[in-house]
Amino acid sequence: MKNINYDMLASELDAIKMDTLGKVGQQDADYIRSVVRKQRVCEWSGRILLMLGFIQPLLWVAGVLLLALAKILDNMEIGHNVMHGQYDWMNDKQLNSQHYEWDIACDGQSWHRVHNFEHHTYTNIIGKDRDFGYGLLRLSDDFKWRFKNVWQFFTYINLSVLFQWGVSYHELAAERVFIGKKKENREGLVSHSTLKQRFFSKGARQLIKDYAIFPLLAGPLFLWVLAGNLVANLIRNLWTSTIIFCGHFTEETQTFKQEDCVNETQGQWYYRQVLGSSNIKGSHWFHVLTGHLSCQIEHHLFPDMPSSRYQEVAPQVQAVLKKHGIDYHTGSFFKQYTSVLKRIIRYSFK
Amino acid sequence: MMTQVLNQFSKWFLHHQSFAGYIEPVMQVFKPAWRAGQFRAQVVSTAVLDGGFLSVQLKPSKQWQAHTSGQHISLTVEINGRLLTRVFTVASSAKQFKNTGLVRLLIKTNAQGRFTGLLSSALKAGLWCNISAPSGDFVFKNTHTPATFIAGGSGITPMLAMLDDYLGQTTQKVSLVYYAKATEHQCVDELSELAAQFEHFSFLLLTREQSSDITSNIKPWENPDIYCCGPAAFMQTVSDFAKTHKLNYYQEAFGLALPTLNDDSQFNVKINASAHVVSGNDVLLTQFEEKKLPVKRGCGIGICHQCQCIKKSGVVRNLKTGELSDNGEQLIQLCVSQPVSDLELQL
Repeated sequence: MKNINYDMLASELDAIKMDTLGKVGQQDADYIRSVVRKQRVCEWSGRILLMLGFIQPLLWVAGVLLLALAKILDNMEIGHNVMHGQYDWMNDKQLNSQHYEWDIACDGQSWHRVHNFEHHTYTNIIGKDRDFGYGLLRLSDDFKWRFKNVWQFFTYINLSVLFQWGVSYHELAAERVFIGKKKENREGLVSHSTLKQRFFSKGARQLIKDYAIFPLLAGPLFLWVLAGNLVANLIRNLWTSTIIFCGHFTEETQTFKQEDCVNETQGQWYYRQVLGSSNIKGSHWFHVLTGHLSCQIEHHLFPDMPSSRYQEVAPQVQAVLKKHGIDYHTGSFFKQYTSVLKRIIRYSFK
Repeated sequence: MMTQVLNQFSKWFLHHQSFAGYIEPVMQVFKPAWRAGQFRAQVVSTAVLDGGFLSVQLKPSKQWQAHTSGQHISLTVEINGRLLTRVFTVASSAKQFKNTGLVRLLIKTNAQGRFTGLLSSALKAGLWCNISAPSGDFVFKNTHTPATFIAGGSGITPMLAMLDDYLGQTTQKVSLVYYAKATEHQCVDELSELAAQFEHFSFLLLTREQSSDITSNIKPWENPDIYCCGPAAFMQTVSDFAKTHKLNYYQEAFGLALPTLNDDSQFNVKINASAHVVSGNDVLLTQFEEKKLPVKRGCGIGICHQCQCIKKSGVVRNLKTGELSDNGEQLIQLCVSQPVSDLELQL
């Protein structure tokens, strides 16, 4: 590791955090509620427009896009951030991390366990953070090359298309609920039967909602609605997967060894969060659509800071990191995504 | 029926406990402070009274069912984006609510208080807040026996409501002994009016300096029912007295005195229905784990929010920020919370 004054780094980043958290208030509460309102409007106008496709197919297209937008807002800006506890200070029962559930196949509490704990605490530590490659892709030399890596680009495409199911199955895969030998050092927080029950219950409800209930409610327009929901889910899957891959798998993002996090200080933890993440530049609405995962570095430094503040703290964080000579990985969407694709292909081979 | 179907639909498919919860932010555009599971109330007027008391007249929405005099409600106010909740006794009678459609709260404010200190700005005439359905069983029990009311400080609030409602329904002797700091007795005009109207009612305004024995004005030989509301030690004294003299005794507890932090202090913690004791020298999560309580440990450093639980009441210090929490209901992270007072938690 470089010669960095970690204590100073920690105190400077802490100062940004405390300063910003001190400002959090009505503005942030109003912001998240306004996103929820937009989500509701998109969802219901989308669902209604899907049924008007028989008048003019373009209405159906608009419906699909609105429904996809609603799902993206729900999953990214609302769900992800609320479940991080970013808005718990509001004491609002509808917007707190203990009860929030999202419009996606993955059971919220399962995600809460794996993502908030494993991924955010042990970011990019090989062997600890299963989000690195999701156990499917080889994205660094830390993993031995296997023959299946040759076609991992197609594995990646499949994962993107079915992303909500990948997220949903994530914890069950780690716990070896269905297949594989249980790892000895892994102490599950929840029993296998609970995991299975929650997995099937949430997944089934999502399938029934999108592919049975709403199509049936549409009567003769069954197929219009069914197809619309399918495409909307697909768009959401591709978008979330793409954004999430840009957050940790650009070529610049680094991995760490388990030894690295033993007795880690706050400063070292911050350092690892920065190097393990990358940002995407964009306009305000772009950041909202990514659930502010485009500010991945800030999100990883301050996972429970309200997302409404990430755009504001980003330049401050960048300035502090620059002062300490620490790289700040950012770039346009095009640049970052190209970089991800290159990395996936690069590590397909030895 | 329709509501039940919608709620079930919301639970299964919209991932909200109720349909109202799902549409809440949209409804709020049309109806400020519209919240699932809560009643709305509009502030009609407020007045600052002696001794730092704030009198608030609220007009609850039509759905709100009248209270029984002496009961309390929880008041939820959004202050700088935070929903803060406190419990207050309704300081007006059910009769007054029937006549005017209004309820009155009499709130002892504290300029440093996290909640009451900010109330006068959050409760301006015309603004909206939320109230709960009334609850509590500190109500008038028996009109056929004499009654003595003993109030300490803001403990006068349930008495005001009860007296207004029941003096007309009884002919038995009713007396009120009201302790407060000099010049801080509330609603003396109202009490005088009641005394003029009802011969069987009398009241005494006292300070602790004038009359240090708070039971000296109880006349056990008249065998009155005792109603008491005030600070914990105050009520304990009256309760002991009533027990000794075999008098019926009813009380309402309220308030919480914040102790200065001492690392070795012990606090009582009520979790769901069970009682535990914790010390101030460690975070709650570790202590609960030692007690084999069903807590979830996540990161242990205040990041992942897995150990989070609902604190119903009491104060904790967040070790990450050094800040003291509110006394009311909110979510806390057990792994970074040090107890600072007795607590009530929901796990």
